[in-house]
Amino acid sequence: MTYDFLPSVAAPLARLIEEFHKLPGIGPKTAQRLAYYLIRMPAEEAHSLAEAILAVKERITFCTVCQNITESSPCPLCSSQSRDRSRLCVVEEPLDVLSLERTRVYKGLYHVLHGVISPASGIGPENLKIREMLERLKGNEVEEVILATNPSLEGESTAMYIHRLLLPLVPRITRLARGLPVGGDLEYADEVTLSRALEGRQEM
Amino acid sequence: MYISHLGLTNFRNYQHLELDLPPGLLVFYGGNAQGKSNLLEAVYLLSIAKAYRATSDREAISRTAQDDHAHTQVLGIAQKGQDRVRIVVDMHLEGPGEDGYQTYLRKDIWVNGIPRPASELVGVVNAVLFDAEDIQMVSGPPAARRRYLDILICQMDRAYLRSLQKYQKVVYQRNHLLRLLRERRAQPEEMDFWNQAMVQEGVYIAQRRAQVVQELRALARELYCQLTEAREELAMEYVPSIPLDGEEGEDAHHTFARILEEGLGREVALGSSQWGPHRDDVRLKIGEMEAATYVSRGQARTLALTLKLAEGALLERERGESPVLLLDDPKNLWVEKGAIVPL
Repeated sequence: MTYDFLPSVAAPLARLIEEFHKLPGIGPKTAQRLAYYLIRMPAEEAHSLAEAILAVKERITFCTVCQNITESSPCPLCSSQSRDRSRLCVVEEPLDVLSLERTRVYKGLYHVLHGVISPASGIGPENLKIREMLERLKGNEVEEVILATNPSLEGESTAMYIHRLLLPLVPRITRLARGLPVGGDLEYADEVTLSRALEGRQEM
Repeated sequence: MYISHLGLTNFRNYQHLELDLPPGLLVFYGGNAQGKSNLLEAVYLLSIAKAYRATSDREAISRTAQDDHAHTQVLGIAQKGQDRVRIVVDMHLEGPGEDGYQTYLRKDIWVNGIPRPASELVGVVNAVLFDAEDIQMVSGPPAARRRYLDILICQMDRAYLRSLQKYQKVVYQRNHLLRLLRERRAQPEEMDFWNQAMVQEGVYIAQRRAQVVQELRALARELYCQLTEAREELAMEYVPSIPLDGEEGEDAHHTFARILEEGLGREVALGSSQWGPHRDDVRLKIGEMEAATYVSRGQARTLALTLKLAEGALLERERGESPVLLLDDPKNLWVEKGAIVPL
């Protein structure tokens, strides 16, 4: 969207609004609000924001081991001595690592695929970091791989594809359980979720 | 059940309308292009959350509302015995709309003031709509008959709707993969998951369709007898793309999986999925004649109405309450036989 036709918007401001609007989840109104907010921001804060954006682009790379985004490769998670090296969790995106880390339950290592198999978008296994994962599993002490791709059609397809490749390499391959959300009410659960939860029930 | 109130805002040709409706048979009459059909479509929208006659819901939004992004709203109050259910379907366009940016349609649904996804509206208001286009169910392509079955089964079974949506995604992804295989840009083993998903959803869909056709068959035959005073007999047969009972002692899943495995070469060459419920049909016969090719216009119309009334009868049996029948321009039927018995 261009704001050229609005005489009341100065050209640099229009450009900033346009840049914000390109970001995911930011509509035209939010873009305007953010831009006008920045104008009223102290100069040093604006500088610090600009620097942070540049730093992300300049200093962030991909970890050569787990493919996660990092400042130093191998990343702190991969080089940490306190992690359990017998477990590997395979996720779709770097954000998924953050979510799993927030649980503080999982102590193993990660591997980030950077996407899922989706023929319609032209993404096949060769576009994901699957080869890198197989490489690192060779001659490694990993005893369990946890497939933590999303329970979507594409996520399931990716998990199944990887599962077959892993069979000769890893003693144990698991998939995240699906079922009821914690604090949820049986009454409000839909049939699919509830039947999945039944299938995955556990001994007490 | 019946609809006791209808409120329209910017829906098709209605800028604003509030209408209280009595129970029982209701006839709207008037000149052409006055909005009679639009009233029926509005009621049906409350039932299936989609604009039935439109290829996209966008068409149901009035011109002026499209231009200034105003809201289109259909409000209905359904009287179900002692209960009143208030349904609001709100649609409006979002997005800039100028300089090449696509607008998109946002649809919100409230049932008794609580926001609900479209899939949960299914079954709140039971309705059956019959209009001139429905003749396609008889003389049109198989897709029209699949659509008839799908809309009917979705109104009875939410799991079917979900299965159908998943199946459509699988076919879409699978067709792309077939084309990638043809161009040698993918490996055959990438197909395994999609085949498996297709078999799982496909067999469920086909079995459900077979059951429902089985139930419809008797209802439709009886209704057709009443409408034509038993001059001819209606036969209805489900023609699945894959054998439902399986072959040579296999179950349906195995048979479907084997068909896909053996047929991969052909599918790759053609670049699209050749087997599965998206290729199903329902064969209709009057006496010994194939309805799709041999019936007259008048017969086709009677037959289409029969199918719709059978849909209503089946919904009534499943739900224990009679659906709202919406008959658009049924005058030809009145002329033909003098009375529509089941009403």
